[in-house]
Amino acid sequence: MLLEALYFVFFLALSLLFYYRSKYPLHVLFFASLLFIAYLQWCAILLLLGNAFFAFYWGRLISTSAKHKQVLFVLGLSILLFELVIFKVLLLEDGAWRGSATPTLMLTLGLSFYALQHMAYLFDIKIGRIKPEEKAGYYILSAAYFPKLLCGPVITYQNAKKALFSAPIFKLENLVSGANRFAFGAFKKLVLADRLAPMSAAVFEGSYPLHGFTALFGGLLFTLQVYFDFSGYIDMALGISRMFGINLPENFALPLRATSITHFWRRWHITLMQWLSAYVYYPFSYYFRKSALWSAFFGIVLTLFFSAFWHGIGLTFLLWGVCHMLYLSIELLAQHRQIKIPKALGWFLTLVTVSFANVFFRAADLQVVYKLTTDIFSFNTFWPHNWLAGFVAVIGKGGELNDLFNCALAALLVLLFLLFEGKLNAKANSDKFSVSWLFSFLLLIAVLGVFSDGEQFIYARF
Amino acid sequence: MLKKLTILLLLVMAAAFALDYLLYFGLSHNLNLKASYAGQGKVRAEALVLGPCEPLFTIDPDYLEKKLSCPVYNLSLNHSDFADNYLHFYLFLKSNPAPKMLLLYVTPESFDLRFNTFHAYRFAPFLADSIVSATIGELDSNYAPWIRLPLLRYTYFGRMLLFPALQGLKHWNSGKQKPYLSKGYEQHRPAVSPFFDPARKSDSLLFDVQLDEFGNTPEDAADKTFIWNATRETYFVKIMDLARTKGVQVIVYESPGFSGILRTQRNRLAFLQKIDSLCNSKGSAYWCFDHLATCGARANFISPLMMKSAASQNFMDTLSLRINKLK
Repeated sequence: MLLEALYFVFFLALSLLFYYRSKYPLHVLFFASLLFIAYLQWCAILLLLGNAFFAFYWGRLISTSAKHKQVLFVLGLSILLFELVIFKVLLLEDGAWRGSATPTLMLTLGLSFYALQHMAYLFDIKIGRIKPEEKAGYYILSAAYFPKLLCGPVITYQNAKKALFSAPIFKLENLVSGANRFAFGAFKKLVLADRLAPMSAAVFEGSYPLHGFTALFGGLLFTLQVYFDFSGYIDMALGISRMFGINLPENFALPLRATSITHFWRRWHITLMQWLSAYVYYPFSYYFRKSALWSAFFGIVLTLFFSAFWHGIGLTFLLWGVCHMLYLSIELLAQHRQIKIPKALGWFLTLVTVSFANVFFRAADLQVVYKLTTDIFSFNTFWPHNWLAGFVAVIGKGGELNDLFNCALAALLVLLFLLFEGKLNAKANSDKFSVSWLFSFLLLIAVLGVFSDGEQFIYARF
Repeated sequence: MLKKLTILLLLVMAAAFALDYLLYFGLSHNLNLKASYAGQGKVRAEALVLGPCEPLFTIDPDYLEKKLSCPVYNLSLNHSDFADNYLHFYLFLKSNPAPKMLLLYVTPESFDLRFNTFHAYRFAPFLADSIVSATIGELDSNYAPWIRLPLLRYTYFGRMLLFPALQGLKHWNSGKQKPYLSKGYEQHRPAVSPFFDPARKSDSLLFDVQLDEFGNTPEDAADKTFIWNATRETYFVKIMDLARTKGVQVIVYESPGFSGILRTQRNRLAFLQKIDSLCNSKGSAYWCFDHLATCGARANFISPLMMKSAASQNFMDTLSLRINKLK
């Protein structure tokens, strides 16, 4: 990992140098992106290029066809969806949570993210929202752009075009601002997410019975882990992009402070939700537009079904989607009947219900789902009789003093972070060179980062 | 801007070196880390016990001292392989008088990579030693590039080392003289530990070695075809050679295991013969105790290879008798 990090810093520095010095900055970005993918897995380039060329030419075909726009669109979409299904099935067989980079996973690097861009591209051309791109290179670069390749954010072609293809102007503030954001993201990933990973794994991968509270807490631990992991990646991607003078859209807006599920989905994986709203929710709810309630309901069902499928084929993801469908439907009904609850209670319920749904999301298979839900709903053993044995020693993976220290340290770091998250976010977006900020984060990462058994990015597995 | 960047770099470097030394100092002064305690040169033992968790939990130096009439220290470590044992033995000999005899626990599992492992983090305060760094370079290729980086060489294993470093600073500050396990032996907890939850017995399987671990680990030992590993053999030979150069007599032994499991191990006999011939080539004998009556009773064991306290004492009686005959 050390060598990879050093290679990456070297690669980034060279890319930036050539990007700002070259007469052809987009070419530099293009080759840098291909080099980045080739380093990870050269075969992944073929899949990425194949997909991009397909979408590029199919888009032109849809645009030039006078009579068969709809048929061509459905056919193109079906091909992209079919490919996604095939690879999702293969990934399911590989075991998404094993943590190792399987050949299929390496081959499909970023597929889930760039496939959404291609689908949106075909749809937008079909309805005449955009004209097809003239230059294949531009289109491929928008899909391959390396900072966003592995875990997003999800962007449409028209947004990518706006962000990527303006002439680069070197500004020192961009470099500083990018470095601030990058350090913040690295802290979230290396210090918080990877510290929580073994704790949540202890709940999800153990075969022994747990108290209901411990099992549910595992869901909360995973919610925190996936948040720090994913938002950490996004911070780093946005930071690197900012160094290139490119502004990518934000993907999170303090989701753990949401006071309702609707609120939560407006703050969590924002770019995916915007994509789903634009290309799934609104087009489908349009068909049920006569009844506002039913159109919203069917929109929710379809959107979350697609979201579950996008994350992975498997009943665990479907159950996760069903949970959120239920939550949102209940909220919709409550909204319809003008039922209101206090914000503090809303925040608590949101966190608990999201954590419960994440039990399905994280579970490796239905056996784990069955075990953990049985644990959670065994009400007579819900609370541990002995908190050290039934709770701390489980999530700490042992009862030694060192394990307790690690649990306490993780709890302290997470609580402090969440308490000051708003202020930290603002500082991370600053374009001022702050010695104290960078010094603190570099030191925190160096001292508290998890290097020996760090995990790959969770969303790179989808 | 350039001035600020220079200040930042200088600050980071200064902090890294300062923290590097602080962590080194803390780890070196933590008496509960066996390598650090041995490094202080305070151990006087004529018989040294070495091996993984089985001797750690079953060989009580206080009991054995009475039988052998000489000071005994247990240098065994949980889940340790031969390389781990070799480095501990080497570091022990570096700072303490050589013992007269080494009791080395060896089973067919010891030569199979699926059992026990090398824990590089245990040697973090000794990275300056060329033998330690070379062994880490050979056995932990992930950690090897980090060992020359100040601060990161310790924080790479932060989850394992931060707390012991802090504990070491406390030991130094309080002037502590003896480790928590004064002779290295970790006693089976005679009573239910604070981590035992009586309402859910299964919880206890994870955390309390006093309780029955059979339910947890039958597949770890039963129906196994062992696979001989050359690196394990190399480090076993290194232990034997190191002992010989220091004039230490090596007694290689296998303590009793539960026969119900041992007889399901397919190539156990072939492995025992191979170990025996390896020991003979190094001038030692291999003592196997799988014929003792203790092996037959399931009630004598916590796990397939680990005896309960009473059975351990019986075994130590037998072992010491045989050692005394050798004397």
